Amino acid sequence: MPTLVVKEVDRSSEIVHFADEHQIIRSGSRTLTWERGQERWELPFPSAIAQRLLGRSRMARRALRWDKCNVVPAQDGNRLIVVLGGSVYEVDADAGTWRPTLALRQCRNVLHQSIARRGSTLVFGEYGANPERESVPVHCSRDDGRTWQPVFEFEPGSARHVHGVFWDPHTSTWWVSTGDFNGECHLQRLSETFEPLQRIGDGSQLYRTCFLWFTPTHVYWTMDSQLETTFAVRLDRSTGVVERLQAMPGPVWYAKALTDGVFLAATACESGPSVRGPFAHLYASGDAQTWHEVARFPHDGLPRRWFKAGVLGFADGEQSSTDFWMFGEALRGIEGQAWRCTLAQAPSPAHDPGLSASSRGLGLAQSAIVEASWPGSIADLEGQKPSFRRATIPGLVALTTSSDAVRRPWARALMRFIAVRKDQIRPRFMTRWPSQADREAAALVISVVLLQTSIRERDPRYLNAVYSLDAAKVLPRVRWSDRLGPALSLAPATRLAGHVRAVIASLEAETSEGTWR
Amino acid sequence: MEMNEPVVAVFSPSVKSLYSTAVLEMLHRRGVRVGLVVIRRMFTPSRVRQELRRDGFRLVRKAYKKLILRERTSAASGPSIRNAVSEQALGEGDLRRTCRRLDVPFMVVSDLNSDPVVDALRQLEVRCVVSTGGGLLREPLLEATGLGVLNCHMGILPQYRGMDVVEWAALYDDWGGIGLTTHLMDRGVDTGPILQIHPVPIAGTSTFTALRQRLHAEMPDQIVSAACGLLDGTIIPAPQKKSDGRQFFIIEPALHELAEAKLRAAAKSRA
Repeated sequence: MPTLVVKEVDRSSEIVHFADEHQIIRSGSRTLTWERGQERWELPFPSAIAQRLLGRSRMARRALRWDKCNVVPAQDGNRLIVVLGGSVYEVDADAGTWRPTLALRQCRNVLHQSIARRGSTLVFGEYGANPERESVPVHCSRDDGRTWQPVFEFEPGSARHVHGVFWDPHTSTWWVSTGDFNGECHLQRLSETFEPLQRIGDGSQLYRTCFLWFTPTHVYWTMDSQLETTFAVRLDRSTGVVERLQAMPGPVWYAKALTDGVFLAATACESGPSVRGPFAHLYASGDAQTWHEVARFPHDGLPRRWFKAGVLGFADGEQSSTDFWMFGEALRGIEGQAWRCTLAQAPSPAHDPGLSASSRGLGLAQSAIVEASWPGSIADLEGQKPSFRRATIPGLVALTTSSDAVRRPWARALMRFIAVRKDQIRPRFMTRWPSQADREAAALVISVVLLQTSIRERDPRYLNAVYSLDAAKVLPRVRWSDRLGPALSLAPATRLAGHVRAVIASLEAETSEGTWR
Repeated sequence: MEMNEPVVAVFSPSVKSLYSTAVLEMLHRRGVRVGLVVIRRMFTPSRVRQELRRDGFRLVRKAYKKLILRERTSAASGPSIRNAVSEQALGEGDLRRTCRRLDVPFMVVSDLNSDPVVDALRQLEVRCVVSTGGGLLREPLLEATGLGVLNCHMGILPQYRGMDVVEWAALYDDWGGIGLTTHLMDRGVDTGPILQIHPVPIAGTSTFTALRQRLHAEMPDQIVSAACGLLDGTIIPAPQKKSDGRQFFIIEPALHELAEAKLRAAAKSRA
């Protein structure tokens, strides 16, 4: 079962809209960045003066929803289709022009990954507050975003808005999911030419979803309800029977099917009776039926109404579990950032809810290691008998992202060394790494390796070794003076020290609440 | 068992060891012929160095508790080896005096692994050694007896090898993992063949000090009965596989505290 490993932290991107092996489209500070092969475009949003001034602040962007937009790459030319501020634009990246192609009736933008594509046909439905419950349109472009036509309309009062449009390759039909309140949640099937075929569901929260997965025999989704307990759900295509599979601790806004058969779903931390705790949870599944918690992120505590619910999102495009992008809003650790991640196969702490907080902390620690830009090379350790004497900083850094099989013998050797040579830890570290910066880096990375092993193998002996490192005063403390650097940011090593200490603290808390067995 | 049957030796970590005294007295009462008692000198530079390396600052605390606070622990109510020794009149608290009274030869050495000890064991054709402490034993000594060296480990083997295993078992919420195991020593740490396992329920014991005292109080009886069983063939040593268990090390104060909190909670629920 998987655990989250962070490969890259992009602090300048608030959203990664699309990523595959050829290109990546991100946005941050009201600028779109499109990288495709060797080409790179920077496309500032069309903004009024107030937006340009206020939009420099992340807090203002959050409060005013000015960070939000949706981007789909066109299939031909250097063009992007962008939904922003109530309009759909065709953006010519070479010329840097934003040509409005459609004015939206009820919304400024739509949910991420909710725009369906089939060849050069793009389809999406409007996602607005719609207080009067007017009719909700579904728009279609058959020329890859150059022109748009309404192709379907939900009659007034039948839906608040559209959550997403999805192409079902098994039946060659479009599926449109709607919300939000009872009587408004349906799955509307449309033919290839947008003729209504079937409206599935009784309008209840069971049918409220933002993402669908299709198999030949079933349709899967995860509920998006802050009103009722959220479940992973399965519809049997032949019998029409809808089955609740597994409860989740909050509504799922965003989900993603990865190319290697792994499914991701993220619960949102909003307000409502179905939201169990102040966390957004990241779940992974191999079959869309059984879900395992991979990580959880606490809400950052700002008022949710003004500064958003805590949400994790995923980039559109073909990605695998070894390389995918996610981004976060209003969540501690990932707020306003995008992470490139991999899911490492490892014994999962998912069955012990407590340990997941430590896993999350480890994700942050790994991101700090990436950010510190310490060199990493597993070649340093290969062919070596694991021992403290042979450990190098590049080797240790590489261990933090290596497989369990590679990491385990080194972690065991380090743990034994620390336990047996307790009174010699500091002198040995001083001899091995005379520079204080190197010594601190080595101690921190060793701590991450030990904590990873402790969590994955459910073995507190490794945590004990981290305490021993701390007692030997080789593990750096978080100094307040480090917070006074440029822009009040912490130095990478200090940030890592903070994350390591946070993992230790959460493991302490989890040890009191749960069991290591 | 009659006198003049197989010779047994007792290893002791110090002349003041109540555990050693109790074991010697109990072996004698059960008719086991103790041919030699080997006592390790309390203070030698190498011993201090070795224990300091192993225990660090904890050694100072340990010494303070053992040597300075001895009266206080002995006064504690509940089962303890001191209470057991005084209740059953097991020796005088000085091993040399007990040896003289029971007419058992003894030698005081700096290192239990030294050549004179090995030679003495060979000369006396000692069948087995009952070790009541004194550090790791090396191969020549382990091979100098017919059946081997017995040790009573304060934990359940093979799962909990090494140090502080009572605390580690509590940290795992493994309340069945607390107890005593008598085993033959080999080169590894608590990896030798097992003679008998004696789980000890925590009952209402809410501190590790009290729990360890309870366990300690039961150790002489356990090791003596295992020695007798080994000598008369009623107990067959069961070998351990290395992979059957894990070695634990000295627990750090933070985890000790968490383990004790778990013990308190478990004791409360059992009380």
